[in-house]
Amino acid sequence: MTFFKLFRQRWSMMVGALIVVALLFIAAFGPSMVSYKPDQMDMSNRFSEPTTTHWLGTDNFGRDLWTRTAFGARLSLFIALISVGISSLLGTWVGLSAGYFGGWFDLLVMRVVDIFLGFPIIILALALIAVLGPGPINVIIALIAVFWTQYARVARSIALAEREQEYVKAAQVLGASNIRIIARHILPNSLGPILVLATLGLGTAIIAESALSFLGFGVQPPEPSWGWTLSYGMRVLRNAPHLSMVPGIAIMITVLGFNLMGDGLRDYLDPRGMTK
Amino acid sequence: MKKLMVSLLTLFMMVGGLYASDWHTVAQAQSDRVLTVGMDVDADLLDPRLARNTTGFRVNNLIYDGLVELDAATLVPQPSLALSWSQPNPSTWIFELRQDATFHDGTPLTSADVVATFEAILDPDFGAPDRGLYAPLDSVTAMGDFTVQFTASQPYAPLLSYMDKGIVPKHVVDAGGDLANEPVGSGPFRFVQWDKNSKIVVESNPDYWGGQPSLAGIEFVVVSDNTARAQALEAGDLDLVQSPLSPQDINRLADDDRFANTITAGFGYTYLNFQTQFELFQNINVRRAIAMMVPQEVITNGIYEGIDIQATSILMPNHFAYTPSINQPANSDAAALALLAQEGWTDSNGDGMLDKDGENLSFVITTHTEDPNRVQTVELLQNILAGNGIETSLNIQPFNSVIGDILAGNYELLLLGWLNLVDPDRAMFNQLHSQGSSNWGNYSNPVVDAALEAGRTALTAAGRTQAYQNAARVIADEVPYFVLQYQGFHQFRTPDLNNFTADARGHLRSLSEASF
Amino acid sequence: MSYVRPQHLCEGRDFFSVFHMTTYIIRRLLLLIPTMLGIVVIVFGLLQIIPGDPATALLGLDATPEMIDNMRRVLGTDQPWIVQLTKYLGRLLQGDLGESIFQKTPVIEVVLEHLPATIELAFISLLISALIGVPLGVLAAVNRGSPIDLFSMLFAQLGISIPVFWLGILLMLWFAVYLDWLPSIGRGEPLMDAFGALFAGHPEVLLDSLRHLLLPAITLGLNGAAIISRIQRSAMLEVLGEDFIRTARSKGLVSWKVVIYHAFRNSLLPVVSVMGLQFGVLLGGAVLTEFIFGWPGVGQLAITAIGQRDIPLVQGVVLIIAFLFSLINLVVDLLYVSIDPRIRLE
Repeated sequence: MTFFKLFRQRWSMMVGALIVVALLFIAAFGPSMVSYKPDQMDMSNRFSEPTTTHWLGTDNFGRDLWTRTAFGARLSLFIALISVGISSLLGTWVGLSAGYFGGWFDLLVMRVVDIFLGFPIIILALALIAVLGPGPINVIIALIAVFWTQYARVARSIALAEREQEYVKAAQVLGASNIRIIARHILPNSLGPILVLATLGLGTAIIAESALSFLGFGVQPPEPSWGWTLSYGMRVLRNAPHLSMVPGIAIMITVLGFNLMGDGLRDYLDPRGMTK
Repeated sequence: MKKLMVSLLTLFMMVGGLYASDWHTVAQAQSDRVLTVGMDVDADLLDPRLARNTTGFRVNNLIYDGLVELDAATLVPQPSLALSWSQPNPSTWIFELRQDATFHDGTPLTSADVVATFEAILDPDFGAPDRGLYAPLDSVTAMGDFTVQFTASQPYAPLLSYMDKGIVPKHVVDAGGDLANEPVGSGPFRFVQWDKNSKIVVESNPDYWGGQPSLAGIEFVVVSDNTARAQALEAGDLDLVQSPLSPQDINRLADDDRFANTITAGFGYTYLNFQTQFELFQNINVRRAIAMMVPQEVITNGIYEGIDIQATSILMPNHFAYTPSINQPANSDAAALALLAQEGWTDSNGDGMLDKDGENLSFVITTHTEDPNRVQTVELLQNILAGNGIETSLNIQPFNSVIGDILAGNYELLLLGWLNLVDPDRAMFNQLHSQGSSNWGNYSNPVVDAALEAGRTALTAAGRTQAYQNAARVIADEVPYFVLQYQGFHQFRTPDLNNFTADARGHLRSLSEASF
Repeated sequence: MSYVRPQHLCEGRDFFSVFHMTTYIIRRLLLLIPTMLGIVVIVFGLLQIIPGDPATALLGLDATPEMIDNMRRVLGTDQPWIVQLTKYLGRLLQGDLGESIFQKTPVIEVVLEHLPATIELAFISLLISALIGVPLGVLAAVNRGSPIDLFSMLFAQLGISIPVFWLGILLMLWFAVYLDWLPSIGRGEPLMDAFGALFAGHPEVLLDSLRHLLLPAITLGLNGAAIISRIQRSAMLEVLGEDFIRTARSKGLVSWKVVIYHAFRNSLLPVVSVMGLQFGVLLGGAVLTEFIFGWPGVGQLAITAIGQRDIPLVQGVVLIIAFLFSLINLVVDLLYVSIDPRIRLE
């Protein structure tokens, strides 16, 4: 299969992957392309529009927006990856165990999942941040609390189906431990859908983080959060539109990248589109 | 599908029909032009004894009358419900009430209502938020149907400035009426409707003792985002907006010919408060040094874009006691570092950070999230201090999350503001008297205490001025408070509004005389 | 939940299935009890450990320690949390949600005062979602691989990726401030009242309400439109690939008739169910849009109540939204079953 043909067939995954790779590149090397530090202020050059020295202009403290955006990418990716990573791990294991063991454990888990799903999620996240206080780690905790249930649900339904399969029964007869059966037989079957969900979840996490920061409940200055920059940018929308355009577009492109990748993955793993 | 559409339509029509019957009244009331005013928060309670937020104050100020009314420009108390008053001795006041005032339900307003209002405020269990202002009062008694006597435990000069508190109807309170949600006052506007978090509607009171206002009514619309509120004015959805507004919006609106504006000094200041119980800040020279590093000019002209005024001391320019001759430590990093070196704080290990006995110079700066300018101020301050070898961390939380810590004095350096400081007493006594109720930084200096007490009990204006200047001089020198800015007041409104005088406190009482 | 197979709707139901349905509904409603209880306990727990308490929030910066103590006593927050929780649950059992600390009004009244605004916004934005999403999805599926398809997929991706608060501000700036076509903030008369006015001969009132609704509804609805167009497209594609469609085509039925009468109809089920769920999401998820456009709904109410530490009010808002959300889910599930008998109740 030529690259071109692959690209035609899997365009969304390819474009998504390209965006994500570009983003990782900017996060890693963006700051070293210019000579500014993220907290280097220049109060005499505030709200500068994009120039040859400041590629994306400067912010309300005269800090270089390109540098801030690249550091912001690190921050957003860090929060998204950690929160999605932990919630998918947690949710998958809880869901798989619930589905596999069934009985009271399943009942208990499903009730807890119901409780979390019953919450209006943004209100739950806001209340959690109000309890924990703002900051990256607390945003991660709040996002985990909000996200883990969807993985648990998917994993549970897969475990419910798989445990009736002959090969699982056979493994049980052969005396394999439950943990081993889950890890070796059921988990691999759930990886596809979970991976798709997690990829899409990265986009959701980035939006959620910026929304919380936008409301003042998320990451705080002087951290170069996109959400915070955006929320300040809104106030100066007409005087310095680049200040809200840059983080707004950064968020949108990043989320787009993860969504395209997730969709592509789904088509790839499950061409008939039965998961969702 | 078609069937569904038809039944949905029918449903709409049926429900619509139900509402149609009582529609005409509302539609009719809308024919006269109503003034729409943008507010940053919803009112809390429309009971003047209990209201705590600015919108609550402002709406109550139109629905209720106080014994006095503070002149919008000079803040000098003017007759309102009280036609006149006298002071037989320095701690006793006698007010003669007007006899033609009636509440919106038609009941005459008498001295019993005044007594009941203040008795409730003075009752600790009632929970009136500004009870402290009236705490020096021993008793409030009716001397007749229209005469009331106030007696304080000692001379209390600022009392008249606080006598603009709205008077509530005793008979409604006694009958268990819900004033907080359905206010009944005697003021120029009557309450009509309150959609929580959305709008409050009042209409002109035809029976007002001062004559029926010319405006048909006022609609207070809540738009919490400052920028959105400014945009709503520009889009023609609001007739009047006022502080708090974003600097960028203020500068744009000020240049816009479509709006009349009032840009003046307000009655608030923004300050840094050092926790004097925190070991580092027990040292006056360390406090002075930190204060010297505050880039006051950059904050005022950069972050606030000149909408607030750079402060020189705790005395405010629109207070009688003001003098430009008292100055806080001037901004100088070099002098600050020298002062710190004198106290033993130097970069002895060459890591770029100041240290003493192996410890780095570090502390926490606390403020709240709601005001982006304050958040930016601490962000800038942190950056400047870091450049001078001082390590700080920021504690920025929603106001209601930090308020507990603030009241308990649980902070190191605090950035906050005071509003509605109609008298120097209000700007200093509770904040910096060692027994002051808002002295969370635990500042204690007998000289300041004595001066602030003298300010309350002095019998002449000159005596009060002298007292407050004495206190301010010590405060500027020892910097428990470092006042960053005197807050500006900004109001933008439709030029159609005539005969209106803006009030730098943000009150809108003059709308009772205004017209389109 | 799996996609529908084409099948002509609504076969007859025997007694057993009706009985089955009733027990199912009862079971689902009973399951709501532990869920609601769990929500109460979690919210209660969160609000207990949240920094700051209602008394200080209520009294503000002028408070003295005695005033705060007094207020705590009045509010009952000076008691141990277990006593407070028990009392709260006891009242809840009698259907009493308590009184808002700040507004001094029964919680149920406060929430019901804000709920219509949110429902109205959710309803209209869902309508917009459907009006954009359904035709776009159908067109894309019918013209698979064409520029229309590409455009629809691009639209869907962007619609899902754009942060709602950013979109809101951009729309407001453009349509309300620059063009001055629509009001930027606030709500007109409630839609129901506005319909009333229409019948009383005041169409301008309805127009005003709709003008206020438009920007927030579009902001909120674009995301839904993107989701719906995707679901519609894939459901259509699936149905179009089914045997009976092929049969219809082979019988010589013209293509657009096939599309309308068979494919579209049979693809509606997943779309309707997504719309149902989306409605539930919008009820609790309109927080940001309400915040930006000053829309007086429960989302704003929730933010304010959390900010003020108004414990009973936060409890009430969350409980009522969660309850409605669960009910909508139940209705969607039932709808699913009643339309496609081959989907069995769990």
